[in-house]
Amino acid sequence: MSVLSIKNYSKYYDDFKAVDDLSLEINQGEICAFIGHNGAGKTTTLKACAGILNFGRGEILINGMSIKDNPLECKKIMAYLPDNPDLYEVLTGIKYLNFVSDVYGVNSEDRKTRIKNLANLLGIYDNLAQPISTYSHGMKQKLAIISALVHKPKLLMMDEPFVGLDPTATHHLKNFMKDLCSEGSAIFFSTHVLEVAEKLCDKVAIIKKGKLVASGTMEEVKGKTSLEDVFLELDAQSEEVVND
Amino acid sequence: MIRLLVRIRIKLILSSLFGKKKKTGGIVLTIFGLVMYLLFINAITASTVGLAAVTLKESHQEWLIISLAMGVAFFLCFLGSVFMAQQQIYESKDNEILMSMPIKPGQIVLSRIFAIAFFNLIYALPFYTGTVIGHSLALGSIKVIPIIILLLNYIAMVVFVTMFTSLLAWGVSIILSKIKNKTIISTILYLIFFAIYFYSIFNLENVGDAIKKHADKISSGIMTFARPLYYMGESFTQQNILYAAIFIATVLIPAFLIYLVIKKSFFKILLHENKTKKIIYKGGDYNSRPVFVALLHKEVARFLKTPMYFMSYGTSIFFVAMMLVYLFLKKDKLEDVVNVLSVYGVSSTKAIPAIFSMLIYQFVSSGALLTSASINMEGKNIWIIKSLPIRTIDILLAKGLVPVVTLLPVFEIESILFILLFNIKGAGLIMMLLMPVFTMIFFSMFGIYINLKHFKLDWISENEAFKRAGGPTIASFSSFGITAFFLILYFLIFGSFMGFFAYMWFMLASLAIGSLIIYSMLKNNADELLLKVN
Repeated sequence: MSVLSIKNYSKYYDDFKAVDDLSLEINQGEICAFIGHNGAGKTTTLKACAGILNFGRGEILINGMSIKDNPLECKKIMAYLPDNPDLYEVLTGIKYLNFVSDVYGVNSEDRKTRIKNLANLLGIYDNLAQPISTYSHGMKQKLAIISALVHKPKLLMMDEPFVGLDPTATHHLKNFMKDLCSEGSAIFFSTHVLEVAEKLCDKVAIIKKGKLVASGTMEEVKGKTSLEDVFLELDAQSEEVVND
Repeated sequence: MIRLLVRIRIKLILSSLFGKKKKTGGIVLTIFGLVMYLLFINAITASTVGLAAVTLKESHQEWLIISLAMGVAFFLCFLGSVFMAQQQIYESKDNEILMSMPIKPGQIVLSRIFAIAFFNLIYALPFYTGTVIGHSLALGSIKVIPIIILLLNYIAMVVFVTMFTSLLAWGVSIILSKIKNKTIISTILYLIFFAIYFYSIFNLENVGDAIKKHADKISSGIMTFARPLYYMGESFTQQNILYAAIFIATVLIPAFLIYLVIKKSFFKILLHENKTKKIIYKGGDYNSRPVFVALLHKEVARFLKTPMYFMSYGTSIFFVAMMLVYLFLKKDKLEDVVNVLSVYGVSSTKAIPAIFSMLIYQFVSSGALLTSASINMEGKNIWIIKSLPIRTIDILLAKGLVPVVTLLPVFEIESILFILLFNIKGAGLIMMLLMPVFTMIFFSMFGIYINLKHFKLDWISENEAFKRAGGPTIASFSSFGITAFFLILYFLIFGSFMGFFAYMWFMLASLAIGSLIIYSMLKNNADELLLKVN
């Protein structure tokens, strides 16, 4: 069953077309990597799916519900993690997690178990009583990850989640992602780390200048080559078209 | 390099006034407000200088009013910019990135100081023009040379006051870098400055008389303890270039020395590590709350834990307290005012609650307008509330309730104290209890609506979010406009058939209706308005 369905989505910023007629589907249990150059339209697409952008044209459905028409219901079952998660610096880590848990309606017992488990694995449990203003970038990233996972979202969307994470945290995040999908959720994330995408993801979508240039299962897209080769080849093809 | 840094700084401050996207309406309104302010101060200065100049010329102390006018400009610039200087120099979010670049600390500091001086020049300009105009009107037209001399003196004074406030900012930063609870200490320091300011304002009526009665003593005091001010005044009245040079040297040399002190300690202060004990989390505190309560908690925490945000809006509760003490001590003067009003048919039992209600309205409205920066304060955190499953109207109501839960109880206590101290009863008592509530609710929601239309999220220093952003500026000037509208309406229309006390009930009703209208506008357009905030 489709958890995320993007149909002919286009987004303009004044005259600039940031996303051009993009269509993509991600089903239950799938992890989809979203790859592209800087400024290709990845963040715009993710933000549109998260319902935090003024909607453009087309349709985006989260578990069958339109993000444009039913944003509240869609947001209840998903989580969004931006590339540089700026958090409320006046709050402590635990207060922030409690705030997010309250919003998602996670009861005390469940949040206690999940926060304890996730924070211990990511190594920030001891720091939860400290104000977020004292956290390093990596610690903020870890806290944001916990806040995204605390309610076990049906759809998890992340914008370059591995940036700033130490190798141990990266390893744990990959495990969290696999565990979440094994429980029927789906994950859609952008990354520049193609090796991680290759090993972790079931699907991949490559975007260039707002247009989807390749998408499908990992095998369909990369075949017997590597994802890096595919990406570079697609890049070279575009250069040839420009030069011609 | 300095020119580039100054240009960037000034651009940042100007863009904070006009917002990311240049909206014509906002720009026009801000410029209009600025022009009104400049004209107002200009008029006050010109009339004061003009009146005093005639009297003082007879006693050959014409220089005194010039010195005092510039002294007032110095004093107000100082009060207005000491905390801005502290924020701009030591708490700007681009400090780290600039420190990591091959830029000398002196250049970073100087660029910040120049930017502050630029705005002080504009702020003090009406004092300069008012002095020239007032003097011309009273004693005939002035020649070019004295105007230029005064202009150079004025620029030198602005440079000095900027350096002086930067020095104080340095002191404040050192204190704040060593303490944990910055909000309380910042508030106390801020209140001390404004207690002095308020004392001066409350005694302003006496300044004109004091100058006339004690001109000799004041002159002698200035010549003994603040001789540069004498040289500055005389350089204008006597067209004495030497005196001008002495004044300029006297202020610029210390200004340069202050710059050297600040430059030397700049990095040390920024890199100071607050040696507070790390708190190890030991579990617990997993209590769940309803969504709205969680939102409100977050908003209140932000307001109370952001020193400058709290000081900009929260200190109105202290001003009311100071006013209460002052009015109680000057009870006899208040009775004189009431006696005067009774000639116009305003009975004392109604005059006092009406006047107090109007005063409370002023302070409550300024406190309530903290909401006009509440969207701005999200800054780069905006993605959180936009991505979470929270009803937009709940987000906005939580923001709107911050002044209601933090400031309104204090205003109500102060109203009750007024009631008890001045023995107010009956309808007057009810009016004094209701006025803070209705004013708070109206201006709180008004502030949110304005901020949704005029937002600024890309601030570097928190100060920009509520001090120089379009939203709070427009809201502030609009609130003056609303007050002026009520007063004009009374004096032009309602006053002919309605007493002021009755008119205050009309105001209360208008605020209530206005609150409902704004709430309706927010409820119907909340989603659309918040989506546009990015």
